[in-house]
Amino acid sequence: MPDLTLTSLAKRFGENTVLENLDLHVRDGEFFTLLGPSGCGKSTTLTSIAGLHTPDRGTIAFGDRVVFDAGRVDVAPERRNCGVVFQSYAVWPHLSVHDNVAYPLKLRRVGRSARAARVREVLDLVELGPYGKRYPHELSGGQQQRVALARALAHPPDLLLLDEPFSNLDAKLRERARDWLRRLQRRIGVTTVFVTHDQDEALSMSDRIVVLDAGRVRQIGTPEEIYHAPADEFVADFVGTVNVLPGRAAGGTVRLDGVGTPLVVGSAPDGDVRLAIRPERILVRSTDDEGPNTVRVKVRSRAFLGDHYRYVVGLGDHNLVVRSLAPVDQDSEMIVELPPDAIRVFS
Amino acid sequence: MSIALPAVRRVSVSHYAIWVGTLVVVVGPVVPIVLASLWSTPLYRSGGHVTLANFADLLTDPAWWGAVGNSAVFAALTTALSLVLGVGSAVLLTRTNVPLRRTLTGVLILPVMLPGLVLIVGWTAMWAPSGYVSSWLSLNTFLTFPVDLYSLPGMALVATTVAAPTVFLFCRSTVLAVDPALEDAARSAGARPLRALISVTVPLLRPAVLNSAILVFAVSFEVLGLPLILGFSKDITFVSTYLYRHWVTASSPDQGLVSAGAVFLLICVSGLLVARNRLVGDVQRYTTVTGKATAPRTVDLGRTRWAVAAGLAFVLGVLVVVPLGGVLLSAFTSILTPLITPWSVLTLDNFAAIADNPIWSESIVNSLLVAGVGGALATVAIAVIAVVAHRSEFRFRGSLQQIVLWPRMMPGLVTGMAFFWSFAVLDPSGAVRASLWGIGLAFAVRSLALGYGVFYPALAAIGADLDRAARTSGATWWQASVSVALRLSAPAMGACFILLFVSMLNDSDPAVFLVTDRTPVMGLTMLQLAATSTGGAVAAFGVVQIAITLAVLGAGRLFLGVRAHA
Amino acid sequence: MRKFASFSVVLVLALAACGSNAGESTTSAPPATADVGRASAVTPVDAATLTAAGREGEVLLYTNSEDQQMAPLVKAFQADHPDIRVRSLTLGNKEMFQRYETEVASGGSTADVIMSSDAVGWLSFVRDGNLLTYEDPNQANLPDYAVLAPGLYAFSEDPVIAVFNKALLPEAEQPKTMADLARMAPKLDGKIGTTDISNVIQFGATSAYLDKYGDAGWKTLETIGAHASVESDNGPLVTKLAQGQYAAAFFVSGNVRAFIVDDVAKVVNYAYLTDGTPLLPRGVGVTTTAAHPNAAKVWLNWLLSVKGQEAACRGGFTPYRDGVTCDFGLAQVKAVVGEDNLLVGRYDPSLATEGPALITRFNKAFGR
Repeated sequence: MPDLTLTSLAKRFGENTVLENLDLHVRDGEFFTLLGPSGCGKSTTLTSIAGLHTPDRGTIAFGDRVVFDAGRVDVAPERRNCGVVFQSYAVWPHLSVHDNVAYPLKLRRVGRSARAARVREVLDLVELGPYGKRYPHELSGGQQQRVALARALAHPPDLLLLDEPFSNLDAKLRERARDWLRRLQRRIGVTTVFVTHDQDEALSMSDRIVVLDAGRVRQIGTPEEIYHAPADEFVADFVGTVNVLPGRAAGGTVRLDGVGTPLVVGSAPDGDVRLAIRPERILVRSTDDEGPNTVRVKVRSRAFLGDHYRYVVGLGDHNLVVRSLAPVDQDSEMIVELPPDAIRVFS
Repeated sequence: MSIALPAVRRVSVSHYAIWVGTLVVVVGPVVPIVLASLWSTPLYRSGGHVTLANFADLLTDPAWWGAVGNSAVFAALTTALSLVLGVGSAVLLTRTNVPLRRTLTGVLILPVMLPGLVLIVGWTAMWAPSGYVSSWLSLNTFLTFPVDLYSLPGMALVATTVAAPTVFLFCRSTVLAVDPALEDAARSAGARPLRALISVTVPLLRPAVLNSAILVFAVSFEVLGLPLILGFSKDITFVSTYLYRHWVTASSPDQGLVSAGAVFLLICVSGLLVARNRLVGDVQRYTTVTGKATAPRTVDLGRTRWAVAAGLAFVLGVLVVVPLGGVLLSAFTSILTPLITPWSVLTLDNFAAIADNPIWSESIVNSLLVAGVGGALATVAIAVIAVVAHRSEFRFRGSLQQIVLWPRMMPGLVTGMAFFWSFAVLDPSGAVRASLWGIGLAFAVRSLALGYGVFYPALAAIGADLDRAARTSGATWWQASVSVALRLSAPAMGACFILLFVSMLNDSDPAVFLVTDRTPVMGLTMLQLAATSTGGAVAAFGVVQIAITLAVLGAGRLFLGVRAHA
Repeated sequence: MRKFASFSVVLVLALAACGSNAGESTTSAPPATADVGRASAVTPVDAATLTAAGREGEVLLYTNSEDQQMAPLVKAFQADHPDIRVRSLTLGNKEMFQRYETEVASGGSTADVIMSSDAVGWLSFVRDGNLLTYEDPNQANLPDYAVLAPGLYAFSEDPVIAVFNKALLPEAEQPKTMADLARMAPKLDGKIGTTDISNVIQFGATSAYLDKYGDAGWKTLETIGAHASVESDNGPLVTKLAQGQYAAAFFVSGNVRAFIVDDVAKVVNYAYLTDGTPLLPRGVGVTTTAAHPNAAKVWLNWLLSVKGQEAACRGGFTPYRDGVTCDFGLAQVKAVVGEDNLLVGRYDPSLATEGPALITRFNKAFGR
């Protein structure tokens, strides 16, 4: 399996910049996720890799095979040997499941018996072995999605491209499909590019994630890196939940509006800054002298979510979301600690 | 192993070929017309020079502007009437529980199968001031037929009989394809079912309505038979009769003036197309119409449904059933006049005459060939053009959907002349013109607009991801288009073929100039008969044609009725 | 007009009640008792032409006559000349000449023989040198009026006729002359029809009529015109007449006579008005670019022969040669209107020069 390299990829629609000098490298066999809000350019990137979309500038290479080089090379989608699963599945309604999966093989002039064997193999792989004779309208959404996947894997492809494949499934099914797809991908080892706006999907499945915003790369890293060490406030905010507090930094401490004691943070440039801390990193204490950054706050609201409580507390002029197992009454006081190593400072 | 493929994809070569081919066939024949309009002598005479005198003559002739005014009023009236009837029926007969929906639909569509001439025979026999039914009404009841057939509104009524089903067919597929979820959304916002239908579905019809309106308007603008037969005695001149008078019946034919008139009409249709594009605006606004095969729900009209059915039945009775009865009576009598009871003059002579005259029966065979083979080829051409225009990255794809409507607004006679000249230049051997291909091509080009209008909404309803999935599976653009987009739009191709078949079977005007002794066609035979004899033979032809068309439709239902798994 | 309308309605009732009895006792055509004279000797083309014609094998005719009219002619000719196939194409009078010119200009194949009633069209066709000038062997035996120009012959002398709706205008009350019709015109207001002057039959008939009657003729036409309507062609005219929209129609193409038989004759009859029955020559000639000139000459020679004229009668044409017995023949017209009133049209150049003025005045007379 080849790796995938995008260099300085750019695309504009009139005034609107969709991609701005995108550089990416996807390693051989990697499960690589493009994550971002809608309109961030992730689908454009995916369709550009598939050849369904022509960027203005930049290059795309599979291994050392250049499939796109603006103005010079533009390999047609059918010759890029990608497998694509579309958000809408795009399973052909007029063909049976078997014929849908056999289509790429027919185009590649695979002999009848070899074709039948391969279709069986792939259908077994996606656990649709007995459904070959059915037509798409006789299948459930999840089954249709697996037909699309089987079709994408049939030839087999050099690169598997998945465009929000789970967005049409219900929550339970989505979670099962996630695990199943991840295991399948590991087993086949096909280099996979996955597009989603769902952070849970991205975090749970990916080897690496790129977070995109307005056509720009915000951060590339493993799920842990992205979650625990977001490169900027956007990433911190987009991936998971985060409290953002504005303040003024001076000499390694930050003063928040309406909070008496300045908070100790790791290191911060002097001036206006914004602090970010995830709700689950905030510790609920019984006394207020156990460590630095321990403050008394008022519980403004409380929600019980089964495995934890979610509190909104007032910290100075700001609301702070806190996640904890400890039960505290609404409108009472709570003592919370904001550990310095859990606080990230963005200027 | 860097494989550098050429940046220009090979598929665009075939796109260019299709584009150029379409241009040659559609715009090519316009070239001699434009030349003739700017030349001082007819093209077939030597000498002459470039001049604007033809346009000056045309534009300073008050008779021309009078004709333009009449045509505009007539076309507007016809368009308005057929939109009301066509859109109304499309909504009422497909989405509500009006009783007898199928029968009413069948009656509404019936006139499409008949050439205008035959309908005129039927209308004249029944609804003319001295016609059968209007005489009977004024004699036996206090009622009178309120519209004089020999007036602009009268002619607009006749034209509406043919135009309303066209609007109906254009809008019906859209009405059927509207996602019920959209109406559900309106209902959950508090709208009653009928209100939801009117406030959600009807606005979504705007592209279909505008497309059919522009087609009806263009066709009404160039119609020749109606004003020539019904408007003549009242001296109501249309653009078409004005041009006809200055060309075919003038003591010295003025080809330059006629060509200038045709160019004027082409400029008008271009203006209409621009207006259409403005009015439709961003087509994306209407793509909430999906290709999903969800069954549309029927809106319950309650007790009013009986009133609606009665109203529709009355309108269709007047506009369709009675005139068609007139056609039947004319065909089966030796003379049809309110002065004699028709059953005293019943005869099969009109049919015997058709069977006996070898040229007449030959023209039926030729017409079937032109309409059958030509209609099939034209359907394929339309499908290919539509696929390039709507599903490719081809640079000039936008122009394709514009130019297919163009030829329809040129008067048929002028189209015939234009093709005559194009054949003379492009095919000096005369082989094309001497064969049925010549007439078939001219008929097909005129029918493009109609077929395109019916076909492309169905194509638009097929999700783009379906082709893209084929591309990424390894199919070339053509393979993907054929095996997915065209395969899935096969039912629409069937509908397109049937409409083209009917319209090409009916067409006549271009043949006036293109016909040879070896290529008589039914439409022209009827035209010649209508000019010189009473309606019986024309009506008999009409009855034969309805029989043929119904047979084709029946066969079509047998072969094409097998629905795709969708 | 109002009164008349109710009158016709009463008639509708009466006729509907008594079914088909309306016109049993009447005959529609004038009796076939005219003296047709004696046929002259057959004058065929020379042997060399005939042999060459056989080698050419076919002849292409552009005609203004309908297929069912041409069929008996073609069939009879084919029996005499099985080696020459006649291809006949029906075209409009005006399209024919334009088409010929266009085909010649574009180098395509075109007609060998042209048959048309359009006098003005013929005049410019001849002037432009498109007509082969030669003398057909029949010429010596043809009446003067049948030779229209060198090489251009009348094949049929088609009369225009008056047609009446008997239910609205019983035969006893029908006018016998144009002058009668003019007198009755006020009473028949709106119930008189004719074809438009752009129609070549109308143009030919009107010019022949005026040629003889001059200003008095104009007066008659203007009187009628004030109460008459104009149709684009004979088909709509006769259809409306049969329906009862018109009671009388004048200067109607004589071709209609063939339809006025049997059931139709119960409602409609026709007459040759004594002063209003111009005979219009249907010209036929060989073209200069004929691809089959010899076959064309053989075909033309046969058309003008007595045998051809007899076949013409079967097609509903109006033969004029001596010795041809025909219900629709020129002799019949002559017997009705009298020799003095026989009005045979010519292709006089003045038709072209004075045509525009005539058209203008006609249109004014008929309120257009």
